[in-house]
Amino acid sequence: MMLRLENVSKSFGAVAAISDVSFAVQKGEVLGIMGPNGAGKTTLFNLIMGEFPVDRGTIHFDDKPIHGLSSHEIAAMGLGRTYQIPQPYRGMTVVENLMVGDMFGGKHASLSRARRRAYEILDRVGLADNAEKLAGSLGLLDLKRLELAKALAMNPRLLLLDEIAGGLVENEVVVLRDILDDLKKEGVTMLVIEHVMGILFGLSDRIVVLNFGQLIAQGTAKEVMEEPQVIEAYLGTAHAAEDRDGRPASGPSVAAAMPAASAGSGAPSSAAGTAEEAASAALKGAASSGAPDGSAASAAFDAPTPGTARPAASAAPAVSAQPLLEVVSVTAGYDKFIALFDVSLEIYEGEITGLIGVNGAGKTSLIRAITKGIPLMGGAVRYKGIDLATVEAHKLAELGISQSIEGRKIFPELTVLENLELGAYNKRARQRRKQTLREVFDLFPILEEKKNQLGTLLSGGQQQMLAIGRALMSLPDFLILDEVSLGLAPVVIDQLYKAIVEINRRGTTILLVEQSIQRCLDTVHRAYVIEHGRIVLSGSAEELKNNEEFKKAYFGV
Amino acid sequence: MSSTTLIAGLVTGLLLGGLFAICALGLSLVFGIMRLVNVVHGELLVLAAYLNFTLGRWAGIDPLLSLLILVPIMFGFGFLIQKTILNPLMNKGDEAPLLTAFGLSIIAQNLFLLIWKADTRSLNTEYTGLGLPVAGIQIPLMYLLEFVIAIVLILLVHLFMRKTFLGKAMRAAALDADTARVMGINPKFVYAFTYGMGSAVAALGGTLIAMTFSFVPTTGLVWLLNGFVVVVLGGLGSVFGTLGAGFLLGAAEGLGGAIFGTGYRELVGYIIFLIVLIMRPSGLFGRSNG
Amino acid sequence: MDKQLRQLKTDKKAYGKLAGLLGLAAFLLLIPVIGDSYAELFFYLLFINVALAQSWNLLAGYTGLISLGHAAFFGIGAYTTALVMIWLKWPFFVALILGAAASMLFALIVSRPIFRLRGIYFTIGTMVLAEALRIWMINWEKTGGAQGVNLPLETALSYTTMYYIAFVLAAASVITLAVILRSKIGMGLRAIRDNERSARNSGVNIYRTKLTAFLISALITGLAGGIHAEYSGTIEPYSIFSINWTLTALVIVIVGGMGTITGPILGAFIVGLLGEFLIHYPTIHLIILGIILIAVIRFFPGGLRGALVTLYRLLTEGRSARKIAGNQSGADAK
Repeated sequence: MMLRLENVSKSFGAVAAISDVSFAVQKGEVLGIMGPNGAGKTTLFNLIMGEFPVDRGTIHFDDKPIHGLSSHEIAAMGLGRTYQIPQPYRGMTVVENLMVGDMFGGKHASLSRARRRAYEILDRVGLADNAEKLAGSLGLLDLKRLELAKALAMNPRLLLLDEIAGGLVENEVVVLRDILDDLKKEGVTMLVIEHVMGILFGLSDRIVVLNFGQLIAQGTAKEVMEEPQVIEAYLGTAHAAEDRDGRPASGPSVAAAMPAASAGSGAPSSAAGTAEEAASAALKGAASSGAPDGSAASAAFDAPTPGTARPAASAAPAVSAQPLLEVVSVTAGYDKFIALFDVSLEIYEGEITGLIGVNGAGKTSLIRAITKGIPLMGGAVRYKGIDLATVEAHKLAELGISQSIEGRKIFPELTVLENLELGAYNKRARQRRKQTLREVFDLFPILEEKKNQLGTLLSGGQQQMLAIGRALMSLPDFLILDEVSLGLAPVVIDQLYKAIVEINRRGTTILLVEQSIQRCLDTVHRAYVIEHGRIVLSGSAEELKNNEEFKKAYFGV
Repeated sequence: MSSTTLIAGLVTGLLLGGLFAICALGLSLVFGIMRLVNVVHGELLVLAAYLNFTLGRWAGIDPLLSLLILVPIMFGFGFLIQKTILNPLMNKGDEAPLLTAFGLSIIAQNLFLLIWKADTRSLNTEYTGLGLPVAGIQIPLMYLLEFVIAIVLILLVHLFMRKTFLGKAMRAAALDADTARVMGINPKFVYAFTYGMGSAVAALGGTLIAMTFSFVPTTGLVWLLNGFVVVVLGGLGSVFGTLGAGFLLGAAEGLGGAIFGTGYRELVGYIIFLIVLIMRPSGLFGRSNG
Repeated sequence: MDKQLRQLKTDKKAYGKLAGLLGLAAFLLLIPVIGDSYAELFFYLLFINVALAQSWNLLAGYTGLISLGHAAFFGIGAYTTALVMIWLKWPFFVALILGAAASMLFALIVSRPIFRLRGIYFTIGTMVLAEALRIWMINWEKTGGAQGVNLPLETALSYTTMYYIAFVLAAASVITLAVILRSKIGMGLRAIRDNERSARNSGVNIYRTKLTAFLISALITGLAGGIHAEYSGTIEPYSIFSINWTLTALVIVIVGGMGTITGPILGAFIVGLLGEFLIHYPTIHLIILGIILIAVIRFFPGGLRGALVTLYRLLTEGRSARKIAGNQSGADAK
């Protein structure tokens, strides 16, 4: 056994991040780790690498106990890991980045030997030309390559890869896939966390599935995909299990890790009976490699979700000539990483507009571009005709733009009431705040009940309501809701969506950002689909539901 | 040494702790809201003392009365410093603002030397030297005054932070500047206001120091370190913690001074500080900052 | 081909730098011969400050530990050296070694607790530590209290001798840093500075590496203190533990260029010359130092060296750099 975990548990305060997880990895095996956002995958890696100690259980590497050792000792034993967000040594050159690992973990004491070996590895991952550049100047794909190279410099017998393909476009993913295939052929044992199913299923010999910190399935890709618990975790089609409201806000997104860029299905499924069967067929199809064909997946998509009542969207209001918000050819990003390419969209007053895309497609970046969280590299954002480049970030609330941020971001150390009142900070809202508060309490009665409780004591769903309520307190004309269903049980999401429809009915224009297509398209009037930083599709909800191209675009290649 | 000496040391120390709390409050606010280690805080105290001294020489008013003018002036001064010099550095890491404040402190100390020379000064009135005999112990009036003022001041600040919009906005910006911005709160303004507040409180503290003790251009350092001890003991972001820690430190120093001799007073404080910092980097009463 | 050309250019630059430094060294060695005692004093202080600056640089610029308590090591080195010569009547060089050892011992003792402090807490901790030490020494009668101690006259060495000793220290500190940085431990330090979390996963023992830097820094500073004690002939706690030593080292490093080797040398010259220029106005000198510090942090974070390097790059590689930049953004946009 290369790696063996037995009954590992870890809690942070009241939150059980990992509960009683046991599995083993053979030498030369590739074990895939999947699970919705927040399931505990990265925490698992952190535990293995000794970033923090386990509360209970044991971890053995090569039959030697490593739980309780410090990180550098574990690393020196031959474990290399990559981080989801690359962690290069920015002030050092690319070569030097590798030399550190080689000298301290890979057992090359002399600088020249380490340098030589570093060059070999760089050649392998395709970074040889950038060897003398400062790591801080690299683009995303190169940073990912560097991340992998740094792990390889450790001369690892076990490689821990955390979403190494995340954020990359198709041809970049192919490059990475080739490198990993080669490594596998050489017999490197790997643990791979991935959302990009093509890599996950294509590379892994076996898969373990985590959800809420527990291991819910183990086996080959096919076996795992037939487990009802796995299907439920991913598609959320079953009715809500026990109320998980005690969970932290970062719980798994119910429909979150819809197979993104799946390898495609093989034979189309037989006529879908229940939605579960259809979904399972879709996922199975995705699990086996084959020609990309979204048909089976779309079967799952079309089947109506049983058991959950959907709020019917109100009829689309008459479209006024001038959009309320215009995003015009916006290009934006962070540092070296461009997140949005020439993005344009229009939001019309009185409508609910949807923005759909998978993890990392650029939804939050687009929101940030609109709300001046990131600078624009090109294009403009116009609100009520005003170019927002001329407005300071904190003045947006005054103009009527409000937002429920991804991850809720309420102030946990203030009470519900304090959070809400602070929402009415701008002058317009402050005068009317008693009345607005009444309206918010009407929408979300539970908030009135808990008005003097601290934010931390609320459940995930209640925190989300608070976040929306707080956004409403600023009397917005335009409300942005960023992934409000993240980590919540379906029943709670239903409540939220009812409220969202009501808010819109009362006159507020809404931009609804979602990963879950079903919910979104059932609620919005129109929607845009974003992928890898570009708008790939747009249209009314009806149009999109019937659009073959859309289904293909969404399930991708 | 007699028990009376010990008790005297303890009691007077406890009362003096009020002054420690007042002087540390500015540091605590700025650290709590902006995570800025304001190493020029000591010089703000001394600046207030010098300004008050000069005002006293021109106008002859009671130093406490002069505060009516001094507090707004110091507020505006602090506001400006944060706005123009420190705000641009707030997102360039922790060291840049700290080292800049360090530079400001050097400039200030030497300006004091240049303008007011190295003579030891103090603010004296008819009552600054008075003492009240209570149960055989001589209690300086100023100490008593500082004790009371500290409690009142901390209560006022606490109410401000809890009940007013601006106070809540300050706390919000401290917790999550980006979210606060989305809600319409301007973090830059909040920071400048906080620094102004810290400076305004320093006006009070500096004046009291000058009335209780004496000062020279370099007096700031001692009170800065003293302030650090109080803030760390009391915990980040807790004004009541600052109050409690002030009293605690005062009592400890008073006792230590009585036992070991007055020269070792501050040493007692520093040793306590180092021990606490090492055991609990978040202070005795504060929240841990992860 | 392009790679080899660049390698050649780097080699030429390195040799150029070395030649420059050697030339400077030769010049400095001749000062006592060609200059007067005034010049000797100026450069002696410069050497001490360079040593202090490099040792501060090692901690701050390379390990990322900003210490405001550097004076502690300086003072401990000074006092130990002096007391060994006064009480035990041992010769200077032995006393100096013991002074350095004492400084390192102190560093070792406080390292465990103080490394647990993160970021600003570390800085505050060092500040308080130094101040606590100063107060202790002021009050401790055994070591002369506030009056300090005087070294026995018989042991006095000539100013010129002290000049050369200080020169050796300064040169050694520069060479030590250069060697460290090109060594395994230097890589470890820079890794810790850039990304401590990643460094752990690269197998770097964070505590031990930081400790090594800490000890070396204490060694250099302790030696400087001992040398200065002998030079001054008398030491007392107010000046030897004064925060001005830390301040000067800090300004030199930041103004010259943190995290580089030539930076502090440049900085020391600037600060020294400024001090000479304003020799009659020490307060104004310090005020200007403060202003320079603030300006550099705000507008030239790379210090003087950084500014010069950028200028050089702009002038020589301007055209080709812009072409590469053009390709880069094209590639990103895909």
